[in-house]
Order: sequence, then structure tokens, then C-alpha cells
Amino acid sequence: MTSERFIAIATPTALLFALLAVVLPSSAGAQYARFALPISLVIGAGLAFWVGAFYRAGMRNAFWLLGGFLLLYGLSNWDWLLSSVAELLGANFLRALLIYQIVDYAMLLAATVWVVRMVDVRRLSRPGWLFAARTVVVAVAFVLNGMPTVRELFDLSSEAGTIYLVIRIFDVLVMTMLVPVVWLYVQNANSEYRENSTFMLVLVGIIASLTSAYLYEIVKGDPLTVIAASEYQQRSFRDVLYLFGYLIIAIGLFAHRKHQEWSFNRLDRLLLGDGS
Amino acid sequence: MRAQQAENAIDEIWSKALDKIMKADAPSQDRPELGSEIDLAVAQAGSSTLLSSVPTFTKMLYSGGYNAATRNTYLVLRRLGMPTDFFWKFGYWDEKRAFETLDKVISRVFTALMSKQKMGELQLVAVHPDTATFEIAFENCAECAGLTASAPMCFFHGGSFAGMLAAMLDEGLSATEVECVATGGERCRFMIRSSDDRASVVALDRWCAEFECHFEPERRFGVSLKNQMVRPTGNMVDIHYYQMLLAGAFLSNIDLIERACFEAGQAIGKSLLDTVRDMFGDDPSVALPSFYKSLRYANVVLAPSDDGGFEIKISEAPEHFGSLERSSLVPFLSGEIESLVSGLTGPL
Repeated sequence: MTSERFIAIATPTALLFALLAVVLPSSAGAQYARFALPISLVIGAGLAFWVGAFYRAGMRNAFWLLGGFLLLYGLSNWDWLLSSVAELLGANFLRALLIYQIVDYAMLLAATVWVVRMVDVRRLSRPGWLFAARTVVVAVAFVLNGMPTVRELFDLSSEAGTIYLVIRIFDVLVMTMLVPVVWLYVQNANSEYRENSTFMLVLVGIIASLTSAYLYEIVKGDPLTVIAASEYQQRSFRDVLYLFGYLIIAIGLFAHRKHQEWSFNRLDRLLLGDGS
Repeated sequence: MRAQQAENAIDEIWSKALDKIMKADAPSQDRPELGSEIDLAVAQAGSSTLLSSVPTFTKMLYSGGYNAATRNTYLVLRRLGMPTDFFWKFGYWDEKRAFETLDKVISRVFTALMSKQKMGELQLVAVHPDTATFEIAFENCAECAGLTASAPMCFFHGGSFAGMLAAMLDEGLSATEVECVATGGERCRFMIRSSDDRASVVALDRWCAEFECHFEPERRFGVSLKNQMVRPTGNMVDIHYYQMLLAGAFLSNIDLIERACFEAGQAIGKSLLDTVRDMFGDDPSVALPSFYKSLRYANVVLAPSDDGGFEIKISEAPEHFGSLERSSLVPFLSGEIESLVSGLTGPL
């Protein structure tokens, strides 16, 4: 096995798994999404901790923070868990949930900061910088696109409204920081530059799962809050997009951890004269 | 042009050496009569004599080893299907993983390659990925076995190990030898550090600049000719090792050291005269072929020529065989033979 072959097999398989959310009959599809979304995130978290244990210092921080983000995110996707906590906390639930979200996103943002610090971004080309600048414009558009919704639903001075806006900003901040890194990988994909394709896949997975909701919001023309209420874990294409993004993160992490072992096995086979 | 020739020759030699560990049953391209091995005194003589006469040759040996290893380690690993990102973010690996992985690759590929060529047994001793510091031990070193020196003298191997690790980890590294068999050590030991660490570059410069060599060809060749073992793995070394040395350190710098090579050959010939006479007699047409054959160096045939001199035919000499067939001459052998024949018969 090589990581390229694994990714080539696992990616379409992940897409099939994601499509099950809309292919399965109504209630089964919803049930499946309810189960698959948190599970894929928790598996991703486990893999991120596993990969993190492979490194020290900044790289370990980046992967463990990513693991922490995925774990908290996965748990918050668990319907019955959320209901149980809501029952337990009563009126304080919303506030607790918002703090939970801020902690979760802060972890992702910190992970992103570590990634940006770890990856050598000095060689970003001019088109790369232009693309990054365009990403900032898109990011601002994402935030502004949500503004009327925020104003309609919440008083911006209220805690909930502020947090809602802060989370949108967090999402686009992470995207804005990761896009130049991904561009760098693409820029160097065909050269002998020694960047890591499995790591790129993880980054793409993160960006995809963060932005797919906003793209969906723009395409659909409905506010995210409306979409969330009507489509989330309800046998929708939004579930497919999310699930596929989460599975891509898990695939990237698994391939990243196994990359070396697979590469060494290949070298061993070649040295033993079995190059097939 | 000559530099390009040297580079091509280096690549071909490495490629053949890799073939030997990849395909055990690959057809042999060894010399038909003398085979694939040569007495390591031959390889040592050229380097050691130049180390005595050309002060900058320490750096040439080191750089020759470094450049050839950097370029070819990369090619070898690609040929073995190892991805360019195998050692991705090595500086952030924990020590255990760094040591185990690097050790696995080194022993599977480079220790095997060097052992096959009887260059010595390479072993990784310690790795500190955070500071890019490595310790390497080398047993039965072909560069210094049977020699004595006042300071560590394995410049070619030092450069090769630093270059090999540099290519694997995509990092600038420099090596210094901290223990050497030639100075009485049990084995050769190298410390390799990041070139960003100024102290490591200073240490390398000092090592290269302060080394003084006192090579005694008659003593060293005497040991080999009397079949006294200079190391447990024997006195022979694969000709690919000698050719790597020739191509990496000599051919790459031949414009600078061509004359010095010829003179070094002459000096070796002069100092070996008594040994050759004692062991093989006064007749150059008998003594020289026997001398070179006993070292498995070359087939030398001397036939009297019309002008009263000798017509000399040399074949299977590693300097002009296989990958080096089309390369510029390294005029050791001609200087050495000229000196020996002159000594045995009077000036030519």
C-alpha cells in the first residue's frame, strides 16, 4: 500500500459513505447522519491524537489541538448527548453551549496558527498571494452574508448575537489562514519540494468542512440558521458535504500516520527484489 | 566538461553499487581477470600522499564525499520508491521515532551498500532531531585501516555521511571525526551537526585545516604484500569504493591536482622501489606485473620497445575501467609506473 493508493481508494469510498445520508430512505438517512457525523469526527479526533503522538513541540501542539477541536465538535454533534446536557443545565444551557463553541473554535484557531508557523510560507508565489487576498474577500463576504440573519435573529449587542458573529469570524479566519498553506502545497506538488500530501488532505478537509456550510448558505439563499434547523441531520446534501469533509480529514490523518510505514515497506520489497 | 564527466561517473558508480544490493543475481560487470576487489592500500595511497602534499586536499576529499553522497542518496532513495516527504518535519520528531526510522533506512540501504563494497560497517549511534545532531560509528573503515595519523583522517567518509543525512533530511549538515582507528581508536566515530550551528562549521574547517599526514607507502604496502590483515574484514575493498573516491575527490578537482597526482604517483613509486625489488626482483617486466597483480590493482604488461625502453600496456585499472572508462585520466598510475621502471632500470 502507498498513501497515494490509499487516498485514491478511500476518497471515493468516503463519498459513497457520505452519499448514504441522502440515498437511504427518509428516517434511515436521518438516523445514519445522526450517527455518522459525530462518529466520523470522534474517529478523526482519535487519529489526530495518534498522529500528534508521532511528533514533538509545535507539530504535536498542532495535531493535538486539532484533535481537541474534532472531539469537542464531534460530541456537540451528538443529539442525545446535547439533549441530556440541555436537560441538566436548563436555562444555562445556551450560555454553556456558546462557551463550549468558543473553546472549540479557539482550539482550531490555535492549531491553525501552529500549522502556519510549522509550514514554510515564505516561498508563496505572486499568484498565491493574489489567491490568498481573494480568500480574504470571500471570507469577508461570508461574514457579511450572515449579517442580516444575525440582525434578524438576535440583537447584536446580546451575548448570543455576538457569539454567533464571532463563530462566523472564527470560521473564515481559519479558512483565510489555511488557504495560503494549501496553495503552497499545490504550488510545489509537481516539484521535488518535500511537502506532505497527506497533511495537505487534512488541511483541505478542514477548509471544506468549515466553508461548505457557508457556500451552501449562499447557493441555497437561505440563512444558515434556517438551513441548520431544517436540514441538519435530516437526510440532506448539507449532511453529505459535512460528512464527506469530516471523512476526508480522517483519511488524511490515517494516511499521514501510515505514510512512513507504507513507504518503508515498499523500499523493503524493492530491496528484496519484489518490486511489483 | 570534466566536472560533468566526473558527475556522470559518480552517478553510474552509485547506481551499480545499488544494483548490487537490489539485485543479488544481477550480471556482474567486474573486471574479467582481477575481479571486483582491490587491495585497500591502493585506495589509501593516493589520498594519503595528496593529503601530505596538497594542504587543501582534506577539504576536497570531504566535499567530494559530501557532494557525491548528497546527490546520490537522493537518487538512490527515489529509485527505491521512497517519497520525498518521508522525513517530513524531522526536526519535530521525538528522539525514539527519529532514531528508529533513520536507523532502519540507514541499515537497510546504506549499511548494506557500504558493507557490500567492504567500505566498513556503518551504524547510527545517536540522533537528536531538535538540534539536528547525529552520531555515527564506522567499523572496519577502509579509509584509515592499517594507517597511523596524529589526528582523525577519514575526510571522505565524514563528508559522505554528512551528505547522506543532509540529502535524506533536506538539511545542511557538517561532520567532524571525533575518533579514528588511525589515531588508536577502536572504531571511527563522527559527529554530524546542522550547518546552521556555527560551531560545527568552525570545527569542520579546523579539522580540515589542521590535519597533517605522514604517509609511509613502503610500510603500508609492505603490510598488504605480506598478507598481514589490517582489519578483520580483510584487506580488500570493492573497486566501486575506489572509483567513488577517484570520481568524487580526484576527478572533480583534476584541473587543480593533475600535476600533484602525477607527482604523488612518482613519490609512491620511488618509496616502493626497494619493496618491489625485494619481493619481485629487478626485472621490471616481471616485477611490475606481479606487484600490481598481487594488489589486484591492474594488469600491467611491459614489452621492450625499439628505442630501448618499454612499451607498457595497462588494463583493468579501476581508474580507467567501467564507469571511469571514458573519464579524464587520474595520472597516479602513470607516475608510479614511471618511477618504478626508472628505479629498476635506470632513468627512462
